[in-house]
Amino acid sequence: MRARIWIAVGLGLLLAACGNNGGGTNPPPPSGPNTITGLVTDIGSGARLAGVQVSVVGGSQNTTTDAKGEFILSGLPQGRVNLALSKANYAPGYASADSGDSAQAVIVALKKDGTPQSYNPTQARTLSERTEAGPYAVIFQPNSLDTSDTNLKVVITPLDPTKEDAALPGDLIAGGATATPLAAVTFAEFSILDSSRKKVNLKSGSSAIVELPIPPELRGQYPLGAKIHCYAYNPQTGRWEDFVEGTVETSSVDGTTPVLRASIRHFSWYGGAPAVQDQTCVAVDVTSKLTGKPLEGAVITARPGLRSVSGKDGFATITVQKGVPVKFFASKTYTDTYVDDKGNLVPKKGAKVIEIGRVEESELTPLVSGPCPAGSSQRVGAMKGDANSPVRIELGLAPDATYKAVAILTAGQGVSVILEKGFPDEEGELQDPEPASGAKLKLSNDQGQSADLSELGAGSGFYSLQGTGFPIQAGRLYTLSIDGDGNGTIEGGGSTYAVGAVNWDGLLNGGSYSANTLEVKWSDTGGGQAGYNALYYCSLFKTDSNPDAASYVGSQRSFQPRSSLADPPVPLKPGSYTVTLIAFSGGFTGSNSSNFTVSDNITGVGVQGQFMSFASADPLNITLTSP
Amino acid sequence: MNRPRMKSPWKDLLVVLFGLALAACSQPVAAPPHWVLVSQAGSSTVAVVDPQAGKVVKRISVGLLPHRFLMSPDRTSVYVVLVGSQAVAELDLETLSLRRTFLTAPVPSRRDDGSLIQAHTDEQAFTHTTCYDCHGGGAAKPAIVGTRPFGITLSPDGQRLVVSQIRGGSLAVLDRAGGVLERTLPLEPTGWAHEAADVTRLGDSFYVALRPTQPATTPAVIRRLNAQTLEFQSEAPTGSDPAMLLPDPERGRILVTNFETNTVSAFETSGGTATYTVTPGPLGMLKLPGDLLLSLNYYSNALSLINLKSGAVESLALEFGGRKYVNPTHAALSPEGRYAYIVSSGTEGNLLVFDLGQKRVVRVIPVDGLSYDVLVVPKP
Repeated sequence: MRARIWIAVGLGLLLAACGNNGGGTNPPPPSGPNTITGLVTDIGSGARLAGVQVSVVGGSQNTTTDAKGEFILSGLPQGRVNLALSKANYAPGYASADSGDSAQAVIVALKKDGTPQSYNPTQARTLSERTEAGPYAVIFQPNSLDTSDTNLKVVITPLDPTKEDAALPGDLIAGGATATPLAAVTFAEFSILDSSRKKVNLKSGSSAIVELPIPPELRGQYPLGAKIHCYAYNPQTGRWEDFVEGTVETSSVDGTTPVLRASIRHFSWYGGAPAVQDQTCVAVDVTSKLTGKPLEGAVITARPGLRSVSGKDGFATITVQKGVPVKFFASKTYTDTYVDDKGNLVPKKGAKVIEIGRVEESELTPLVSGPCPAGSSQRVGAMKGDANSPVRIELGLAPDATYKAVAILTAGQGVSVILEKGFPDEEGELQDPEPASGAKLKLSNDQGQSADLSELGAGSGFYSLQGTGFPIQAGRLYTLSIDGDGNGTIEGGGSTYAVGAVNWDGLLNGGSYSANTLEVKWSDTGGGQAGYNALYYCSLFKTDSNPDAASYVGSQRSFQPRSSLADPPVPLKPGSYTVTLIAFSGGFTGSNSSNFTVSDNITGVGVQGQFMSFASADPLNITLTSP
Repeated sequence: MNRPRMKSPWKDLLVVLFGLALAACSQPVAAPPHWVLVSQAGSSTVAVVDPQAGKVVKRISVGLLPHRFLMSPDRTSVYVVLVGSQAVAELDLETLSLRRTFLTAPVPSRRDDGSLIQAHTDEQAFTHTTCYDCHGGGAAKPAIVGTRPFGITLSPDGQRLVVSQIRGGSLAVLDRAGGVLERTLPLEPTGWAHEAADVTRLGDSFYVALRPTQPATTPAVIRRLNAQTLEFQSEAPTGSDPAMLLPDPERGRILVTNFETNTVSAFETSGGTATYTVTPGPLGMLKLPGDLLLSLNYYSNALSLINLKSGAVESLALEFGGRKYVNPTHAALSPEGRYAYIVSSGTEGNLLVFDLGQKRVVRVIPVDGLSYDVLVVPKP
């Protein structure tokens, strides 16, 4: 059990040309007033994005990210500042920060937008963008858009918060007098562009219907008929507004995927996120890798959770959702400062440094049950240096390169990781990647235990748990943290469940069964663990002169085979069949009843990849008889 | 030909005197001491707001998704419908605390698919009077449960609470004294309309808004039931998403906000109807003195002031200090009738004090995000 989290913040990002050596780290470097700095990355590849237009909503200030994907805006008005970020082929991005006595940094991830689809707004039409989670759709009524242009393009950019929550704009909270975290379920961005690429929205008083797939990992929590609060992001206010209840129903596009169906009045980012009822208050300590000291004024964001700012001793309390993995991000920026070759913070007019840190915790011991009390910024004596084992994460400078990981977790055995580094092309693929040697990788479980991975031979870029004895238990959730260049900064990571051993239940090799009544069942040794979620791919096929086949992709542990070669499906033809079963966890998603896809579930600044686990049952040969 | 007018000192004096008289008339009428209650759906609480001090003075934890309020006939209790807890909370206005909760439907032993809910047996769920006890932050999953009670009204004798249930498609009749469920009336669907979104009473009839599952484009219906026997009397179609029912006894009709079609409809007991077009997203309504009705228009971040006699509609913005306030949901009238307390919802919650004479927001009091209903109660 963990009593508190230390986030050592330490990614120093040099901006501006170096020079003017000298100076030191004492006193603390300046963090100028009314200034916001930022780093913009691609959520898919983790690559820094240059040429992103950054503008103050409702203001005149604007700038563009440099070659390192960074920007600075100074002379801002006091108070909350909302930023809009845009780049061709990316969905609109938004961020908010407080302009005050010291500068704040925002870390923004943009997502590549969906495929533009033509639409004549005089017609009723359903348009959709399909992903591994299912179809994201918008259903237009005729003449509901505020335009006379009949040559529109509709762009739907899906976002799965279980993997890409960093690309969600703004704070996902119910604020006001007392803030409450919102738990993201499913989101998308809807842009309608006219012939001159100007944004078009709905007429006042008109509405459209949207359908957003429930991510497979969350389908158990939100069954058909469940009601979920939906919100639209308002760039003008920087808030999620227009909350209405949507209903989980079956997709009108594919007829099978459970989707959140809701009414929309303003096209923007839109999605469902119920208020978190089960909250807890945890303690956070923030230290700087650059100075080695507690860090004051670091902005800490928890998801699902709220936002907080560290005090003079680097301490803060923050409200998070209880009982689920929580991601913590922290950032701090200095103005008129750069980092020299020895890692010292050095005065330099016009330069700036952004430090960022991240940590993901699966199990937290609350400082206070329920939300953090107002004014709970004071240390609680019982928690300071007590016996609960704290997590301390040493972070350092972020790399310029991008890292790509493929990691495989096997229950009862271990984890294997292949790590490459390079510079991504426009599609996000690494150009001429080379093994990433010298990285620091750590595997944590949902009980607060962790172990370091080691490289199998210098220069191999291949890492494992060799010699640690760290147990990989079926059904448990494991998180892989990646420090690509081994300098102490956790650049990214991802999580997966360790898939258990899968065995047939009641189905015997050589057995004979009725094709009409056969129900194929299996067990999974990971199935008893809370929250465990695996994807199963079971198939029956025969390849004789009268072939037939049936398959199932989903999270249930049984299915009734029906021929996939017949429409509508009917019982399989009599004959001898081979039956196979594979269980997956990680970036695997069933796209329909007979197929699945793999997507990145390792994300971060400069990091992308897949963290997966799988197991298979011994294939069977059975005979199906006529009804 | 216009000639320059001579300036008269008497005229100036009259103007001054008239101004002084106006100033005297506009002095605020002393309002009886009162609290303003706000249901805060996002934080499972009811806020007690002191409008004089301009702040929340107490937060009462009541249960999941508190929404609509109802005052007891003797004005000593307030009922809050807990949409997420399958229950109604009863608040004691003397102590401003939760007195008890009533379930609006029995705790189920089986799921919709017929499978046994073993945890309900293991955790003795059948002895609880609200799902919040287990599902409100404890280990019990899922968090979203129950029949989703929403609207609430009183029986003609004031002894019973009648609660409409969205997911259940039914009316629950609860005995106020005993706090027990007396009867559940399943409501037969009409077309796609099957969710009981709201209920109110006018004279000897209950009126229930039955809507299709949202979002929808098919019509909802307003169904009239005998308030004694709950027998069907009549029904009429309305917009696809009726948000609130409000009795208009002076004119013998029921007012309905049609959230998706941007209208307020009036259904007369004699069968006639009238429709007022307002700005997008009418949700809550507040009857004002005279012939006026205030419609809270959620999507347009505005109010509509409707003259029920002439049919004239005036749109009013929600701004204060150069800032726009979004998503109004419900409103309540201050005791002296000068102010409307308006909930501005969205993820940032505020209680807006709206001066009805000046037709503008004069004060903003922060409350929790995702707040919903508002009620003025006497300060003991």
